[in-house]
Amino acid sequence: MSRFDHNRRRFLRVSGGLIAAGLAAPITGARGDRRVGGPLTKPIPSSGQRLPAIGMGTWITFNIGEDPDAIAVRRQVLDAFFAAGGGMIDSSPMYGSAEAVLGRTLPADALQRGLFSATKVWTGDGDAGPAEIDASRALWRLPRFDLLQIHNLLAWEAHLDTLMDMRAQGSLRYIGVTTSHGRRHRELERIMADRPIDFVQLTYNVVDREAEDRLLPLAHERGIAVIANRPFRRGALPQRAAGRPLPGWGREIGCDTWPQALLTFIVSHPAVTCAIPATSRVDHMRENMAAARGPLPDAALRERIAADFAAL
Amino acid sequence: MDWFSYGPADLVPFSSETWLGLFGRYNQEGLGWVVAGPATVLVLGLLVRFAGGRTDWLSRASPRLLLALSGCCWLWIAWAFFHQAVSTLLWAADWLAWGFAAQGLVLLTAASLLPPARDPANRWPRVVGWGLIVVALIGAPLLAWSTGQPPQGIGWFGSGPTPTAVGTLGLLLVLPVRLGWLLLPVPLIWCLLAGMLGQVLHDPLWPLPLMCALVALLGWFGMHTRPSNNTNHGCAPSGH
Repeated sequence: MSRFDHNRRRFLRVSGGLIAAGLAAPITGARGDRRVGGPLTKPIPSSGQRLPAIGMGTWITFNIGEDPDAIAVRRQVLDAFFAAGGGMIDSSPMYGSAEAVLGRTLPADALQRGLFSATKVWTGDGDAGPAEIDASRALWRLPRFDLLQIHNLLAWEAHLDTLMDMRAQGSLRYIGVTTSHGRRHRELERIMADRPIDFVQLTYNVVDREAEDRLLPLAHERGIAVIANRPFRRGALPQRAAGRPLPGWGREIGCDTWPQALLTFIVSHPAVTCAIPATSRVDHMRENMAAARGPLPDAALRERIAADFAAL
Repeated sequence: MDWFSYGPADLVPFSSETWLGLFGRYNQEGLGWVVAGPATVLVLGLLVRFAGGRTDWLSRASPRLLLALSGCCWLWIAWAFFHQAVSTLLWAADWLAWGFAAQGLVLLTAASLLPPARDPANRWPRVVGWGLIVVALIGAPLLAWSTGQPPQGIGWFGSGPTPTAVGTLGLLLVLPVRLGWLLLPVPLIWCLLAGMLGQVLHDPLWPLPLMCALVALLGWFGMHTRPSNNTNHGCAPSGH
């Protein structure tokens, strides 16, 4: 399939998805959707498939090796995640034992419960990509991944060819590219503009907002789903807000705690599809999954949330 | 990959709880304690022989035996700690294992070579070396315990990389060693990495390995610099 054909199909899919989701409106007016009392879901622009807006990351929290007690707790964390309507789980071969631990702790009926599996390819050798992907699939104990992302743009051109072949053959649904900590945004922007990717993963939170300038508008324009990583800056943001009461606007958006407000802030950006907080605690998982269940803040309230957090 | 855009925290994909838990399982199930106990006793015994200045076979052989023993410890840590235990958590563990294995082999090589004549000049680096050995054998574990670290998560000379690296630096300042310049870099690099790892994991003792490395480096330069005297205020190389 030529790039033109792909782009044409993509345009039709994206247009359909956006219209169906009511997202053809200007970026400031875009909203997600939810069933009554259920979690917020947002569409993947390239397909229209809806994804729970609060996902789960595995950086550090699932890299626990062979510790049996910790593995038992991670099983409970995943149960709480799926019980609250969670779906998207993101990992990487870079995260030590995280993929192996996921394979041991995912519920047997995870696929039926809405698992959206996302991992990464992370090797500087393009020829080694398929073997690494196979190894990851074996560790997760899944027949295939929903989303494969090129980790931190490493050897991205070689891996992109592999992933596009896999997507064309139907062994993969979505392709993505990741970055974090605000690195290599310019190169990422170029890939987003030129290449037929479905997802981009980048750092976005209440204090790291550089992506708002160019990448998020571009993602919206190009119909690329956005995964926001480091939503809590590795726990530093909730720590900063610890013990501080949530201002009155918390009630307006259905949040009881600062971590919930921080997640709601992220996924209320119209271009953001989901956030992937990581936790090793069941109570924190339940708290995270209770975010974004009320009305989403408008642009003015988003600025107020950011200002109030900055004043902490 | 643009490695220089990564900070230390980006390269440590586990929590302090996981790290301590791994140490605990390594000490209890992975024979860490089984190795550390005899290694510590043997090192202490050989150091006593070495310091006693006697002329019996064991005392004369003690420098070689100490180097050989520490070489075996480095090889053990390479295999049992980094390759077997840490590699499940850290993709770079096997690189570290190769580094520790290389250090072990060079230590064994150094142990097989005749030691050089001891230079009586500049005794203070030797005092520094003894201090580092005390830190490695007793000080570091006691300090870790005093900061609330669970006993099973504490590293010891012979099985834990940091006490073994610090102890080896001490031995290099105390013993007459050939290939000393070749034996210095890996322990120094590990002390640097251990300090960074400790800082990322919020270990209150994170500066300790860095300080030990700095002191060892100063001691090394001191050992290879002739003391100034009344007629010559400059420093000349000792010719080692």
